[in-house]
Amino acid sequence: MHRLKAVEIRDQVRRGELQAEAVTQYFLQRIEHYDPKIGAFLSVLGERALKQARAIDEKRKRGEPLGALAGVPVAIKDNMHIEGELTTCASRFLSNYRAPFGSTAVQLLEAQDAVLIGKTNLDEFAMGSTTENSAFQVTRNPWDLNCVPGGSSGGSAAAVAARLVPLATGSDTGGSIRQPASMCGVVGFKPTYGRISRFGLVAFGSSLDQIGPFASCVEDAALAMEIMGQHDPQDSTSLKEPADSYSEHLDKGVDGWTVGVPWKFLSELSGAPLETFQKSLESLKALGARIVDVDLELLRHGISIYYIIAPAEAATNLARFDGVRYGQRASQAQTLEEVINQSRDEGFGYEVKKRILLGSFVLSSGYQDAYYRQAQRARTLVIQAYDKIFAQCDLVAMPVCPKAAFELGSVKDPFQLYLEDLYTLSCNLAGLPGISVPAGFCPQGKPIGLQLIGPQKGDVKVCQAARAFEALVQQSSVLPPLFEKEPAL
Amino acid sequence: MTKVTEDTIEGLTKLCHIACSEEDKKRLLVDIEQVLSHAQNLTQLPTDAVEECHNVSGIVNREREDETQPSLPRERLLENAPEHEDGQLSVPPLFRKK
Repeated sequence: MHRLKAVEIRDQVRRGELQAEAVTQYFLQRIEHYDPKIGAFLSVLGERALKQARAIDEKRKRGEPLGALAGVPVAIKDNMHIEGELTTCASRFLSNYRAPFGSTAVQLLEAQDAVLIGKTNLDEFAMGSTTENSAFQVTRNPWDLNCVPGGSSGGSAAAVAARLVPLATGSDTGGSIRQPASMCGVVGFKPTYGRISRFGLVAFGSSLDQIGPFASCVEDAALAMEIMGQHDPQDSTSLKEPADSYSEHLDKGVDGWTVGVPWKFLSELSGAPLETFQKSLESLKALGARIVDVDLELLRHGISIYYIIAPAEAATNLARFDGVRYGQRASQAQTLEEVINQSRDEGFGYEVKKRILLGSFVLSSGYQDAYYRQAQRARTLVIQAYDKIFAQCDLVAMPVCPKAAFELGSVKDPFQLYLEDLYTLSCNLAGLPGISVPAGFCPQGKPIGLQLIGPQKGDVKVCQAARAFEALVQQSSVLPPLFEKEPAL
Repeated sequence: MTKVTEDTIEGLTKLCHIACSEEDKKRLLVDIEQVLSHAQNLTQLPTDAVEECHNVSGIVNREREDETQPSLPRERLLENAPEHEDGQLSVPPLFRKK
């Protein structure tokens, strides 16, 4: 059953060939058996999930129509609210915080009869690229347990890669869906900024954050997008356009399309990621696309632009965590000031503290113009550069990250980790849709993804191209050897 | 280039209301300076003729009618409060007792 796509599970549940409760029990058993190896889940919502699943079976018995994700177990990144359940953001600060309301994206999934099966691990407050910044546990890459799954949505990526769930949600501020998707060999999609409501997503960088799906195939990711990509009046940045229809375009291919590749920007790419990228471009050509060279040299400044704007927004968003209204309060504090200062020191991990201080610095008097406002001006240049490219190209193709998954704890220099985001963060700066789709493996057997980027509101185009590519290269259906079997019951 | 000093970090910890340990402050000094040093290259970009990006999707401020809508019940919000009393959040005093 774990080899079934979400759409196949949904169809079989709708036809009565599978009971939703049996599906949920199967995946709960898989999680119980396999998750100790990878640590993808922070909490498993067993009772809640079974109750939801039984309700779906009862609905079917009554002859009522079932939703587009009927009986499909979905894992939710633990920075998105499920009402009444813990939302920890993988932080000591929120270790006991229960969501008083639900996030819109999750509610839309539930309305389509998805079964919410658990909350997944992440870098604390979504700040990181390896999931190593979680305050609670390490998540391991199902393809090599000594390696990182990527981040910050590493738990969700690993859960889908090991087929502990067919679908999961993540959030992407600088690559946090696409990069772990590449490292774990699954599909990960970051939509156009504003396509999915951020209501109920704990904010990191409000002009950069987007929720998106992880799936074992593009078809499932597209279905999740159709469901979650709705206008929400509770998010003032939510696009007003109605949800895109993916299904009618998904199989139209890319014949005659122009795909831009910024070769000069990619000049340092080497080894297996370069070879896989080159083969991917050959595949796109075989599908009828024309590859052209485009200029995105400006993106060499992407790290600087991003690591000024994102921390600035994070400093603002995390000012609300003060130990007064919610979260862990410092037990030794004897004054209000101590409550705030000590709770924030004890509650936040080092990376979060660093980004708050850095963000406050670049916003502070005397430095704001040289850093923050200059970064925002540079961001406009990034948007203009992409606008120019999309005037002549349908899509841009790039690698997702400079290397395949590396060993846990192997990168000591924190700035080196920032450089991992080089190919992904421009999508967030310009609000563009981008996908990582499995493209191949390095000689050590670790996955490598292809990134396809579209113009704003070109989400369907991106999925259409990814689907054609996926069908040709056939890398999406491969499971990590350790997780191929059903657990012995 | 902006020089980050121990005084800079000390000032930032106060600004950000985080009582960082001395060990953290030493690491922060190195790490923050590394990021800012890398960011110096932004001054080379031709930004004189461009506006700051305030909004990637071009949305203008959205308004709604000023109508009262239900809020979350107080009891539900207080469930997450570290300490509360008589329906109010409870915190230590502003000043330390002598």
